Amino acid sequence: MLRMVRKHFLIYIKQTEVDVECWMALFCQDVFDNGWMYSKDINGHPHCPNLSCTHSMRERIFHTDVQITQQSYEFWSKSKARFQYSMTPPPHVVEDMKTGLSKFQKFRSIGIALQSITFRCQACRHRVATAVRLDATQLDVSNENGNDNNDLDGDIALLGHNSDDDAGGRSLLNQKPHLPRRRILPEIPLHETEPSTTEEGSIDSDGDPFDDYESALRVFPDDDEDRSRNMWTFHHDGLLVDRNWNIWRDRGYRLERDFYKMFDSQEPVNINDYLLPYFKPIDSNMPPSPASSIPSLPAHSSAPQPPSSASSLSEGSNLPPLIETKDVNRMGAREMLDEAGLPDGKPDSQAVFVKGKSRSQDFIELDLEKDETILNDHQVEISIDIDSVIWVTYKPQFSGSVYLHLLPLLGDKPPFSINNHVYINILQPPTKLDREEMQRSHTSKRYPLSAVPHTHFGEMGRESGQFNTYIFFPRMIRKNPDTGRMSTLIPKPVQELWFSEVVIPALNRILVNYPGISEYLPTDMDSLRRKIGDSRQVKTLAVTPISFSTLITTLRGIINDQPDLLGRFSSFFFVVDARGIKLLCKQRDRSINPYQWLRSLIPDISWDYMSDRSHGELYLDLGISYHPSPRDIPRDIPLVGLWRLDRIHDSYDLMGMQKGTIHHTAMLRDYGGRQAETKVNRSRLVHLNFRSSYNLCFEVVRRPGIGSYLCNDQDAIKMNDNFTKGCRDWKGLFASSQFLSFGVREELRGSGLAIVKLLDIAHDKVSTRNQTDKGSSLKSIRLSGTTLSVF
Amino acid sequence: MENILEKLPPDQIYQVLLLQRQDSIPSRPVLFYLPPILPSSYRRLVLFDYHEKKVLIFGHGAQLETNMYADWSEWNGIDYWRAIGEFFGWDLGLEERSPQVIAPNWVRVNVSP
Repeated sequence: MLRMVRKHFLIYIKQTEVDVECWMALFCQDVFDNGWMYSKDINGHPHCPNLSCTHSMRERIFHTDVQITQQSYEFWSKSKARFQYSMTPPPHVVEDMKTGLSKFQKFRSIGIALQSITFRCQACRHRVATAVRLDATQLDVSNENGNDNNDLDGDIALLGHNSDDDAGGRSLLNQKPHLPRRRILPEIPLHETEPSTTEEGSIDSDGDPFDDYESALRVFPDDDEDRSRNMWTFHHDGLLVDRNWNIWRDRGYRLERDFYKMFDSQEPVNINDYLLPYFKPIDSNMPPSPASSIPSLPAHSSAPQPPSSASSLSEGSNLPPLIETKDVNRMGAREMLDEAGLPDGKPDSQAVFVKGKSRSQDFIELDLEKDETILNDHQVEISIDIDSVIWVTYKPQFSGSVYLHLLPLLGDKPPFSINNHVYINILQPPTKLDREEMQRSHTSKRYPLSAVPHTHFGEMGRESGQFNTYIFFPRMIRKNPDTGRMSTLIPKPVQELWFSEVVIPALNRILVNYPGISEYLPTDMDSLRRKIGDSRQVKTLAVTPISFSTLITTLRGIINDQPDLLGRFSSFFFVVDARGIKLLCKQRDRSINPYQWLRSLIPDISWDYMSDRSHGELYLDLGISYHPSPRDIPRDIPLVGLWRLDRIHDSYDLMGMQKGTIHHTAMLRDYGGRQAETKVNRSRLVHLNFRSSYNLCFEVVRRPGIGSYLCNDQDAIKMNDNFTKGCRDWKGLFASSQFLSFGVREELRGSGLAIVKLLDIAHDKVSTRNQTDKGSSLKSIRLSGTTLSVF
Repeated sequence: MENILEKLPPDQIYQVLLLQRQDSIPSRPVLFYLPPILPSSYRRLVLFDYHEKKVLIFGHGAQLETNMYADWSEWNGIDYWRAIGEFFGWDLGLEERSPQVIAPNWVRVNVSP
């Protein structure tokens, strides 16, 4: 029964242009409600009533049907014992009705598709009541009952029709026939041109049919956001179509062919000069370093700091500059501890670490470098690795099997909740002018991946989950007007629609050709969910590389077949992402190139296909870390490395970076890290988009992917148990780390091309620099039994 | 002519229409759906206005031209007019002239009835 109903309605949906039945129903209702009028001319022909669009009636019929069906079932179910009906419906129908029609994805899909038509309907937006006759000019308006149509107008307003258009009541003469506008309603179904989106080649630059640009013209602009367009969706036992569908709809964003290209297509310019630059400008185009008087760039700055005393030390280090130098007592960390004396908690130590004053009442200026330890080349180990791989592509391809996700991704955060400095170019929705001139939008805008709605798609690699594939839906890009943030976490109902109407049917379609598989394929998501129950099990299905390629094409085909329901998912693209693979990458012989090592380690990835920029943009993270060498430094002298911020800033300035974020380690003014993106124009040329420098002592407390440290803000304000527990935990972490050494690290994100080039020279260049700067930058400090070193 | 009026006993029709038999029923327009006579013909919505002596036919195919006057003989419209009018006891008005049969040609958004 369900299948029949679904088929019935889907056929109707496709017959948008010839929809006589719905028009009849609308007309009947209008006549019953309002009667009708004859014109007063000699012909006495009737007036055309001002009807709403037929799809609204279809939507209403559907929802009324569902509602009445459900009510009838309930009546039958309650009364069958009493009335002893002679006939009983088939058991499966009773079962379905018992479940409730609104629980079925199939019915929800119909409701969503019907609602989508309303959103796309140009006529609803510029609704014109046109009664076109040849003798229209002679038509007179008899308004005897013409204004008594408040009920219907109320309905129309609820349906989202422009009430201004209705202000003139039934007056036909006051409204010009907007025939030209109406003609944009496509008699040629636009979605039939869509299949070309999956084809490559035969494209000229301007008429590039890479994406379906015309359908974007039919999408309501965002200013209609909160108008409730659907009065029929309320159901006596809940909402059949909830508010999500107003939000998660096609908003008119489209892709261009080169949407993923963040860099110019030629080779990176002077890429070698951009690896940790220092000294003087290396390129005449580059701005001179404001601190170029500083003779050398220390990749290693010094500053030691026992994490356990971090907060107290910082009190003395951030004095405002208005203190005169003569009042200042310059101390190293060791001296401060001596000044405070033992035990802690006494007024003397409080004066030192809380007030920042010495016993002689002078202010203390902390100079960590007084305790520095100088390391020579042999005492510093350099390790070069690839930390992460990001690949943005329209047509992914792999050489190993892929495990496809079949159930929605649940969680509080989307996978790309933080800007990873990878951007794509997205064509903006057509402007008002574009709509009027029926042309595609030509404005494209850079969006970070973290601004585009996305969900998981598959996993691959020998170790499951090592490489994850995510699917992005740019058409649904939206900024939440309440929070001002981009909505990227796709709610469960929308994801369910994606999996049940696109992914699972596509899998069934492509795998049905192989005998012996069908029993293992899920038929629909409702059954899959019942099978799994309430467990949060991750359900995947393995497909071969060939099936995977076919799958992508099939997905696009299925979407194109049902533009009303699934158009929101169109224009999708993929991001393949592997994070935190530096540990894998570091476990290699030093003579092997990290990139080659990664290739051999993960053969399931088509590295050559991925590196080809015509398929997508590949980003690699080059990581360079400096560690105090355990061989040459006695084990009882732990060293902690800190970047010197002034030198870091010099280097970043040389590279033409944006300001980015500066992280002060333990609130120290002069030491810490920095993360910044390359300025856009430069980034296009040099193929580097992001650089990050940080101190590895952060790893003591680092929790990747977790937003709050210690405890969340509310706990800290209340100073409750969570807060004290967090503090205790940190204290324990610091205590257990005080005999460990920590290095510093540098990460550079850029195109695969640029990073592979840099990998060839990285070790040589970094080592050479160390020799050059010998003595000037390798330092360490000993403090309180813990030696904080560094570089 | 076969229609619902002949298949159902009059009492039942009155019951369906929520009318009392003894009432004299004032002349009202009657709107009904006429299924396709032949598989190839159109679905129609027909309105009989006995007071104005007018017949309106909607959904008469995509007539984009000026033909506002329609032919109702192909589905024996006059029989329907008679049957319905006599049932309710209304003045058929056939002695003066035949009703004016109009197929309004409204080119509307999304629909060309």
